[in-house]
Amino acid sequence: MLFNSVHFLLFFPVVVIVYFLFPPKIRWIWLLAASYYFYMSWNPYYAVLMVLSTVVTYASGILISNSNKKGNTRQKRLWIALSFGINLAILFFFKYFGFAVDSINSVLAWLNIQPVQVAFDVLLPVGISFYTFQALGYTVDIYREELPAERNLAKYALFVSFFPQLVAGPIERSVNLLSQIKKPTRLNYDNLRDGLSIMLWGLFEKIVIADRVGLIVDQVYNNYKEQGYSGVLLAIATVFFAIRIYCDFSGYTDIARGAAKVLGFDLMANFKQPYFATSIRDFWRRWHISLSTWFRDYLYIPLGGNRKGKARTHFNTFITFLVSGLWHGANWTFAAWGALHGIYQILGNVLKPARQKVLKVLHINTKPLSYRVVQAVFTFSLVCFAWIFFRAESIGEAFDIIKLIFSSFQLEYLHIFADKTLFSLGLTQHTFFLTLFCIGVLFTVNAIRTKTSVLSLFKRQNIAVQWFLYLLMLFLLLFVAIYDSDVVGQQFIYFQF
Amino acid sequence: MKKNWIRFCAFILLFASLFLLLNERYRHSDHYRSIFGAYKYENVPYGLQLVNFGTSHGEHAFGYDVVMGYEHFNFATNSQMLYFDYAILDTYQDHLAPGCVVAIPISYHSLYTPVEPQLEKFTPFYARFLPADKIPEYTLSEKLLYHYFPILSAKTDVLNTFAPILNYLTSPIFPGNEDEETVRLGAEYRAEHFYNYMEGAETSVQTQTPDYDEVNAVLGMLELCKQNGWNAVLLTTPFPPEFTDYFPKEFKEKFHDQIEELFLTPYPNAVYFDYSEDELFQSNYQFFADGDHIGFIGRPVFVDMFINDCKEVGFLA
Repeated sequence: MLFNSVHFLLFFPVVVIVYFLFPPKIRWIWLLAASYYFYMSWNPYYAVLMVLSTVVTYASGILISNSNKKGNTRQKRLWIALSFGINLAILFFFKYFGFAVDSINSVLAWLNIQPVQVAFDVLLPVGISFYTFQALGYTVDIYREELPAERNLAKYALFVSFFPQLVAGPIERSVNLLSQIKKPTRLNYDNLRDGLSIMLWGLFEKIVIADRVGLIVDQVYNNYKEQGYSGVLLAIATVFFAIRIYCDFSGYTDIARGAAKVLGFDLMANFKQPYFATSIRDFWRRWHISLSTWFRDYLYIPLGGNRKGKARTHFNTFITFLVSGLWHGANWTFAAWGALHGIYQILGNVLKPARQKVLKVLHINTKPLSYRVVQAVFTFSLVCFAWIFFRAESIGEAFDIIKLIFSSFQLEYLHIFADKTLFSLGLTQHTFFLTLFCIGVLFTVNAIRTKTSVLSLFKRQNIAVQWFLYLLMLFLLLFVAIYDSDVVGQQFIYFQF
Repeated sequence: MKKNWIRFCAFILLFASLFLLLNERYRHSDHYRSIFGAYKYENVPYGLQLVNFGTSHGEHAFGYDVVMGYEHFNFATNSQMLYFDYAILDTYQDHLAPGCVVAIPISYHSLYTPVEPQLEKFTPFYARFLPADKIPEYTLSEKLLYHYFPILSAKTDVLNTFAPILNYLTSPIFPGNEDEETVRLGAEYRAEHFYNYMEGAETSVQTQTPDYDEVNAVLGMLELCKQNGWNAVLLTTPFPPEFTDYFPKEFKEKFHDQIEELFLTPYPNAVYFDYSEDELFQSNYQFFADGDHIGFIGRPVFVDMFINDCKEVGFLA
């Protein structure tokens, strides 16, 4: 069940109404049932894996907690190793088995050895990466004695399966979400209004912007060979992909946070205007925050973080980003994307002294807005370059595209801005400019967010202005969004992870 | 707090009212009414004596104003499947007079093109004028998007909700005659398309594997004719020789055999007129508008021929 579907449009109000009709102390039971129904609407069998992950991490949480009380370090290490082992084995099998077989077969083919034959296909359960990491984070939190183990299996199950953030995050910390589940929530007008407002914005990002620019991205990336698209067009498509993936993912997160808010839950922010970042390091403080902090807390720091010398810090950084890349998908392109970001960070650190020296020698003032804009543009370019690997179907294709972008980026190809090339890629002239306008609105809102909360600013306006903007947004979503039958109910990109 | 809840409910009411108003305004707009010529279904006369169905082959052959002397209605539409021919006949059966001639064009590809892959494409059009229960496998989403709240599927038309486009509401303008060379080349091209490249029917046309949704649709129409005392006439409209020559002789023989076996044997009161290789049409390219459609000049000739044939078999007085 996608957030941008008729099914969810009917499901969500029913869940909310029945939720608040229940007595506060047992509302969570209805939420648990609704969450499992939500997940099983994709495929009922997927729920078996989620139950298994839930039970394993619940049990290990209790066992680790008992070991903590006894002070038995060896035993608690055993339990956490078991928890990680079982969950990662499940994740590996369903997500990476096919990839592993293909990779092995590539090597075998190179060695002229008979390839490995596998007689079955493995389906990737939706959201498995997200709920697995969320559950594993819980066991580490118990291990670190940051919170006591949850003794109520059903409440813990709700923590793992909470439907707004189940299939594409944010990856919640047990300290935040579990404590909210244990507190009865009450119907609150402010939560309802704020939650629906955030959901509306999320739908705007996803349906109006992401799905529209996605048509251009897919047309160019999928057909660049047959159609002979120029480097200029590929560059534009790459920038559009950057916007698409941001709006798709941020849109999902906003819908998730808004839905949770309506129900009285506060989920963590997952994005903080990432394309305004002034460095790659800054970018990762703003992009997919729940995942980057998860990797920081549960992989980078346990590896030693930056506490074991420069060489080891760089190694830890690289490994963390490589694994993060692979987390996104079973393809070497994702590994390359992650590795590239790792290299960016390492180079950034290594070149920092030299950079500062150059700035000092040239008397460049780093405080003005213009300098930060240049930094942001440069960072955005680096991020877009990396996105090429993320979007491409293979490493070879990524290099192909890069080669085309840099070799055929000539003035003569700029004709695409004058002729109608840009309006023949999936969007008519009308919708192309409407989409550009909406992207402008998006960046303006993000710019405002750097200074203040847009929601608070909005709520301070007169009621007539608020209603007008709400109506504008609703009608824009209804008419422009349900514009192409191909676009209705388009899947969110991060569902494939 | 109470004030806030009242405001919330008032907003919901305001939004719902505006939405419903716009939806109704769009439903009555010229653009909505005119798409694919759906407007014609707003004024289907009663007491019809001659009706035709079919794809553009039928739509062009019978025209809209060349049938003289009989109360006539042209139910054909571009790419209309037999499946929807049946749904339309079923919907408008009250408009047909006893003894009405029901012309059901069956082109060479008609029986072999699967319905299922095309349903999604055509359902939005038929939702404009057919009741929801006449559109098979109608999902809830489709019902909401195309039938009850068509403004949600309006596309660029939403911008034209208030714009009058009166010329959309006149009869479709059918092309005049192309020159002979254009008709010849077009005929071969179109025949190749029907034989090899119909969506979902890339092999079923060549192997002449009937699609049973289409077959059952024709049977349904024949049954309705039998129950209501109408006269069913299956026909294949005229084509240029370059079109019919593309199909092998064995294909045409099997096509006739299938029509006989599937339709005429269970419904012996129905007749089949095969005009596909009619000598008069095949020796006069000026009768055609393009490779597979009758044109301006050929239309009255065809209709005259058809009416005379119906008189000969006693279907028309």
